[in-house]
Amino acid sequence: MFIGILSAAVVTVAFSVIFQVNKGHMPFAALNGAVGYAIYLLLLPVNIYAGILAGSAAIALGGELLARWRKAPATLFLVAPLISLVPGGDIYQSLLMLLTNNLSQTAHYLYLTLMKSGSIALGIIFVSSAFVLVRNLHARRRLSGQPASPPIPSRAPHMKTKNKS
Amino acid sequence: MDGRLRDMDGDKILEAASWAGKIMLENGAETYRVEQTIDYIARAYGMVRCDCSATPTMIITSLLDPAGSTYSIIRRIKSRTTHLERVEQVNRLSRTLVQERWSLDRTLTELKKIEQSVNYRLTVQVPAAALGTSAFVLMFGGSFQDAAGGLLCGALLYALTAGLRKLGFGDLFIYLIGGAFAAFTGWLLPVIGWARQSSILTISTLMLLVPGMIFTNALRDVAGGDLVSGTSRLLEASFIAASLALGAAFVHAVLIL
Repeated sequence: MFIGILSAAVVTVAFSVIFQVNKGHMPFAALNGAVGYAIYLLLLPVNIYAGILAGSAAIALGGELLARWRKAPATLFLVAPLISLVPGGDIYQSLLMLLTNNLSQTAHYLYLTLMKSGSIALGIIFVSSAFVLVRNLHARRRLSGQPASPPIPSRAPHMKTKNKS
Repeated sequence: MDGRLRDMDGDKILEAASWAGKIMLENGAETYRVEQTIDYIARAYGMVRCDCSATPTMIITSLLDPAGSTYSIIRRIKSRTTHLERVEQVNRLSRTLVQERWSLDRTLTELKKIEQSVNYRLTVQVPAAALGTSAFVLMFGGSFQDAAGGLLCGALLYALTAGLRKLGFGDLFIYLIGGAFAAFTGWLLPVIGWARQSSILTISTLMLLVPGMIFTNALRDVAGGDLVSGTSRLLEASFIAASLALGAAFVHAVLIL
């Protein structure tokens, strides 16, 4: 288990380099990846989908919080940590089974792929939707600080064609 | 207000805002962030209305200045890579512009600098890819010997895909070849005795090319209500995954079975 968490951190650092993330953010991304993977491993004995869901939700939450703290886009802290949860093996197995004419195994691995990536998706969408709410509140506050409506030009803009000469 | 109006250069503002959006979209930003950045920059230079619609393949921007003229532009996005440092820099630039007034020329030079900036060269990325592959081998329960083999597979695969990309091959072709190469090295190393578990090695090498970035951005787009971008990115991710696995499984089926 310790090796798993450590390799999740190493994977995160490696993908941060591949995705060209700034050095200063890398330790935080690695921590985010390690914590998310640890949560996944802890819930694995209960239910694998619950583990993936909780792991990806934890990574998404950590990414959004780190983004606010470090004043950088959330993507930087989110994408590389999530890679360790992606069901790459199942995609591969399902097509291998397809090519060897083993249709029931193809269906099985395809089902696993869809379920696992669906769990990741659900985890991210839960957290991201919550933060979209925060974002909209922020936008409303930003606009309310300014004049209630932008000064609309007196001439109707759609009547006028811009003449460049 | 009037003095500002006279020296307002709508076309240049449009150029700066849409260029910033283009850099972000080409380097892996989510849709809402692209639109938000264009909006910030346009308003920072005094535009009263900014309508912007971004999809993975183009950005449409239309600005209205206080005098009532409309400026609009379409920027076509032809290639998309991942360079998150540039996304962060443009994002920071747009936030700076809201607070302090830079001259447009300064902004344009800064954008040019960001567009050409490189954070890590290939000489750093290839070792990182190697390290990542061996970490995946350990994560999937391989031995340390397999992890050492993973170093070699990862480095070779990453160098190969970077080379193909530089030669200008299409994305799906690169992933097909990459997947086939991963399966080939995963088969070769155990055969010549440098590693033991072929399937773990193959899957770990494949993980380097998995479209995790596109998948994540697609989901964040869907969550934010950008349905066109979200669905097209989801489709892109599944095409990439399918061609990756197809290349790998084909080689695997030919070599082993």
